[in-house]
Amino acid sequence: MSATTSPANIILSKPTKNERIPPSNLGYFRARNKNRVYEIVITEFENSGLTQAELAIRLGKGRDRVCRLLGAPGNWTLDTVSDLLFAISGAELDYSISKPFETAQRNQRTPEWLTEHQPDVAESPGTSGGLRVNVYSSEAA
Amino acid sequence: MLLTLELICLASSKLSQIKTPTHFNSRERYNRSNQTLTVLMLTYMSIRDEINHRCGEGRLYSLEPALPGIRLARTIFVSEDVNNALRRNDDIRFGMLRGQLDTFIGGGLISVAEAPYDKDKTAYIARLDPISDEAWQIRSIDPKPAIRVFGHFAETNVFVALTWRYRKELGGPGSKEWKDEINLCKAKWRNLFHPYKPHRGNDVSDYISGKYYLV
Repeated sequence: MSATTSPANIILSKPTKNERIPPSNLGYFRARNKNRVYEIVITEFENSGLTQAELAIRLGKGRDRVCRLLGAPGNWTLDTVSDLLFAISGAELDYSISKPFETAQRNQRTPEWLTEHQPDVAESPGTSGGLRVNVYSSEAA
Repeated sequence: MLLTLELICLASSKLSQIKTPTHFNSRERYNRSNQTLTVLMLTYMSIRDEINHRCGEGRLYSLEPALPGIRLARTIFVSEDVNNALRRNDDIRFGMLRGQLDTFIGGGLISVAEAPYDKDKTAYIARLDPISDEAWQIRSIDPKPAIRVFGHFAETNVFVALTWRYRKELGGPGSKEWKDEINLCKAKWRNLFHPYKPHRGNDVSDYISGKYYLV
């Protein structure tokens, strides 16, 4: 019996000339961007050994507010990221561009124990750029 | 062979969590352990078999990473209902939800709330009340309208997403709407996997491995 992979949920594709990008594509990359920067900030926070209370003092905000900020990147702005990273360790973001559609296809797309799979339409190639973000700490500089 | 060895290792690790009554002698303990090991292995293999069958029937879908370079670290299966929502290519909100689900799949860092009510409002995934139901929600909180995806874990790192609702449709904590949605989620699980129960764990690491942040 062949298993069914999700056949037609989000179709990500390379932006092409004179063609409107599907709104879902924009939404996908917005969420991906936030989640990636969230991981950087939280990892930096956990590595710092700071408590939320200490971070709240550094930022001049209430502990509840800092707790909410660290819970999810939902309403983060670039300023929020800048404030958090600098307050945590004197760090800042370093920016570069990557193109996720040009990345090599991973071999494993479903659990190995799932039997035969149908091709996933989301695998179609494209060249939308993605933002790779590194973090540098001024303490290490 | 490799899978069998993995199953034995997993079952053995589960066995270590089982408390054996102290009045058993060592032989009784050994026999009981072997029986439990067999049951655990069969159970573990069976839920995977069931998922395979449901996928084959087109009642469940394996959510593959939407980008080619995403490493498969965790797995989400979706019901037809959830899958249809994720197909809304003209809706930016569901594109964001799909991106958030790929964070789970790709092993990205997620915030986890174990306590249904005493949790941070921004948690990515949270357990629902009552805990004994083993129902969880993936919380797509921003931007409005917020979305909740309901489901159960089939095993560690394998989430089965069965229903979804806009948060505004659910009312306040403990409301009839919440209870109805949790009951619907449970009913869908039973409909797909009876008599198998959702995965049960002692702490977050029994549900999710890799990078997570407790809130």
